[in-house]
Amino acid sequence: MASYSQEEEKHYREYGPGCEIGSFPKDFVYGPDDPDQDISLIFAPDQKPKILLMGLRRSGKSSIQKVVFHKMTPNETLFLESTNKIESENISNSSFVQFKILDFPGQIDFFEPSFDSEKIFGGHGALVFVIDAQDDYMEALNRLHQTVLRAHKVNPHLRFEVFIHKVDGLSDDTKIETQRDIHQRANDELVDAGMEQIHLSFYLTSIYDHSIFEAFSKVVQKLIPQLPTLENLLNLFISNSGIEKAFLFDVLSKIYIATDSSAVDMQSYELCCEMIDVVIDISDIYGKDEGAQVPFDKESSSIIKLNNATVLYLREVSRYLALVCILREESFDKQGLIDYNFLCFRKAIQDVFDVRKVQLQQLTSSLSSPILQNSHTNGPTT
Amino acid sequence: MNAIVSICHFCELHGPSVVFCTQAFRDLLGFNVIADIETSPLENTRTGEDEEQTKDGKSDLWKYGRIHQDIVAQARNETPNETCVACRSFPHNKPGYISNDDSARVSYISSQYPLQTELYILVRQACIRSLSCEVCPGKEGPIYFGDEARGHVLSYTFFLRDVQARGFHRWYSIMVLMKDKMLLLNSWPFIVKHLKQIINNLQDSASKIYETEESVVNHRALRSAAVKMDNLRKQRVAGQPRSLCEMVGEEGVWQHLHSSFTWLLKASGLRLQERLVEGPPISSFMADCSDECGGLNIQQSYNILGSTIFHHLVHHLLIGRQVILRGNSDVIISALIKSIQPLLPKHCYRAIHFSPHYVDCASCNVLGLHSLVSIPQNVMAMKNLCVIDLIPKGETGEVSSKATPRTSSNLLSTQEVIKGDYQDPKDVQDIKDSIKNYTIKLTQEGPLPARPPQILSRIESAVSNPTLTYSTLCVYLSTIIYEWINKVKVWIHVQNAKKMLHGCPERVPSPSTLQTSNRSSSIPIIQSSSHSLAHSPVMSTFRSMSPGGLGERQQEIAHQDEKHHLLAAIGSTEWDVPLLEFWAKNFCQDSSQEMILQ
Repeated sequence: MASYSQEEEKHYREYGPGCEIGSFPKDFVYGPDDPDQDISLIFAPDQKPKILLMGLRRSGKSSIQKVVFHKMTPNETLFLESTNKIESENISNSSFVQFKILDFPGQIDFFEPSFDSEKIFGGHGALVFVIDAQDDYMEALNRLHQTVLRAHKVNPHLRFEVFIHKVDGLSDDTKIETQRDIHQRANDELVDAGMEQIHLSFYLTSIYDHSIFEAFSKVVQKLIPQLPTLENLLNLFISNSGIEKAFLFDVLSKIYIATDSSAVDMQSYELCCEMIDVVIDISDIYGKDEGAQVPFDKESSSIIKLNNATVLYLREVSRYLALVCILREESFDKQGLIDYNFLCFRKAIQDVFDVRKVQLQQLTSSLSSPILQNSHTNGPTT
Repeated sequence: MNAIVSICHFCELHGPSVVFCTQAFRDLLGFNVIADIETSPLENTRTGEDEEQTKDGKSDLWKYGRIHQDIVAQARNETPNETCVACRSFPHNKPGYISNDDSARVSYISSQYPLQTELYILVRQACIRSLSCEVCPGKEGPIYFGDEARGHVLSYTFFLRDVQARGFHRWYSIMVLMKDKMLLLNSWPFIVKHLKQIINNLQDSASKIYETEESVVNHRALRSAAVKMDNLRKQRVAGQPRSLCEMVGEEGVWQHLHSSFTWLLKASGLRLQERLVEGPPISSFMADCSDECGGLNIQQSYNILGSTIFHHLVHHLLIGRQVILRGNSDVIISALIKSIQPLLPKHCYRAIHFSPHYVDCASCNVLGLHSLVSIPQNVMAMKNLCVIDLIPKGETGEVSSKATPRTSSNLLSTQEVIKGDYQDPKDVQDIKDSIKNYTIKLTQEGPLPARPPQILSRIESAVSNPTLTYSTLCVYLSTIIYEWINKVKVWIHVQNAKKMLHGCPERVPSPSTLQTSNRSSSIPIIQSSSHSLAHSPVMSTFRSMSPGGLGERQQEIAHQDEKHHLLAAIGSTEWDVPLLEFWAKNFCQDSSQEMILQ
């Protein structure tokens, strides 16, 4: 992910100077650090990062959105109607993950002059291009090429992600072959167009397994500017508690916000997803109904011991965030240590939240003061 | 109506596409009027084309307002070639349907795309907007959008059930695009009502087909099974294009839509008409206030009377009550009476400056009387007058005691007696001076409506404004009256039309009465029975009415509703009605007299 960190650095360079807290670019979740400077940004509704789902018709855009964010079963997606307009949805579950998903109808060319492409493609976000791997993908590649070039022209900061979708029907060999082929062709075309600076990331996805959640997690993670901090915290936490792998999950969508820096293997991710399902289902059935949308609260925790001497341990972090760890059975003997470390970890995360809260308060209080009358967008920091 | 009605479809392969549209073409009026149609120069220039056309055998089909063939060809080239069954109504190069309305000299043409390029762009943009941008709450239903540049659009979105569609239904919309926003929005209830009928028919037939197909095999289960069976073929199960004919199970669906749309264009054009309301020239209603008759002007009278009395007096005047001024100086009284002349249009101002006896309100509405004249009891009882007394200071009691015993029979003599007593004022200054000797009092007053007409406050603010000169004031007042006379004209016109309409509740015939014929020809034509269409009555009501079938109460509500609409249309309110009625009453008499004279 070398390119990713480069981009991140670029990002910091752009937004960095006005920041009081070095590692947090200010335009995303935390709001402006200097209220005088960025007042207009806060109130522009489009400042939330956007994820644009694009691709040819019937490539599975709406299905992805429904399965990931609406818990629709994959079989149900067969009966979805075709999307006839841009369906916009705000995802603001946790304080961390706040973004907007725009589901595009594949039939319409949104670069036509009658559409406001600035408004559609502007802002901070990612463009997810979905390719149906079971179909002939040449047309999709053409469209991908055009879309990427034109969107890049409108908004050079847009990230591009390519989902090679519906791979559930393909054999493992075909999957690899398809990904290689698509990767090759797409990048060749970009080089031919002289746009090799555009970076495309490719993912093999399917709504019938967890690959779509994993791919979406990666997309979302790139939109979270404080990801390095979270990763750092997780690294500290697992190394001091003897844990093998830890994921920070968004409970509702089962996408993971962050994980430690060790490699993610699909099985452990799936295992953790299933665990969340178990916890949610159990508390759904037996938990007290207090009108909460998700039966998940401060006390939620779960321990599952597997027969291969592995333990799954789930703890609640905030209302919509859960920490799921995989560890060896012998490490779990020191559960007290793990729990203590977890409390430290949770406190650290909450500190991160508090920074934002304080800033929001500052912002709202200073909003009412008349000093803001002469606010300017690019002025010097005070 | 100058509109283009079109059906749009969200095709699962091609996105929003224009499937079918109906336009009206009419001959340019100028040419027909100038020359006899057969020998018109326009016709001559066309002959070359016509010969070409004759070879195709369609020259006589498109009768009116034919546009240049090049333009049509151009439009054809512009249209995208990638169409499927779902987003196509006619095969390429087939013009569709033509209906000629001989009496109105209009040809209604249905084709897949509008025949003019510039219209094609508008319709195409509106189509994308109606299906993919604008949201109607509840998904199905009518919405309005548009602007001056891109045309104003009423779009009715709906879906048709279809077993083969993704999500088991397909999106359609019917759009009415026109340049005239006011006309479109005023026709909204009418258009929406009839579009709804058309749509309901389509939906019913589509549902029937859906049920039949569903009864053969459960497509939901079929689709699930297909996925398990063969992953690679699952996408072929749903989402194949299907034409509208097939979905509603009716071969002649386009023909029906053509006749429905043609009827809609025709009927909504006849429904609302803009017409000049004829009447005698305005100038004949304007009071001539150039001469300061009698010495006093309106501003001075206002100062003399004081704002409260003036307010009451003018209010009575404006709504047609009789106003009586009583005093013992005929000069002062007549000067006052003359001074208020500019406040009323000529036909409403019938004054007797100084009368020896009471004159009833039928023959005059402003009356000057001697202070000794009493008003008959029966008139007083009717309470529709306003009496203002000028009572000499110091002899208040005396006047009233004197006034009672006398009768109107010996008034002439008393007038003489009093004339002898008083030195009549000669000029303005004299009047002003002598008026100081009087107390002005509102002695009798009939009940007034709760709110005065809007015009009153404008008059008051103008008259009480000391910075205005008399001539400016006169111009201003006559402008106000001018404005209201125009409103009265519309009011009268609508009232008359309503009376006529109640006499003959005839309606524009429904599309079912259209006869279809000539089906055997290469291009199907529907010849409308244009005769019956052309002679439908003019409906100048502001809303579509459905005479008959309404209960008494409902009718009354409808009436009230209509009245409000009319009032809103002429920028008036409920409390202006007395004024409108009063002005209209005399207006009619006057104008009818003038009509006879003409």
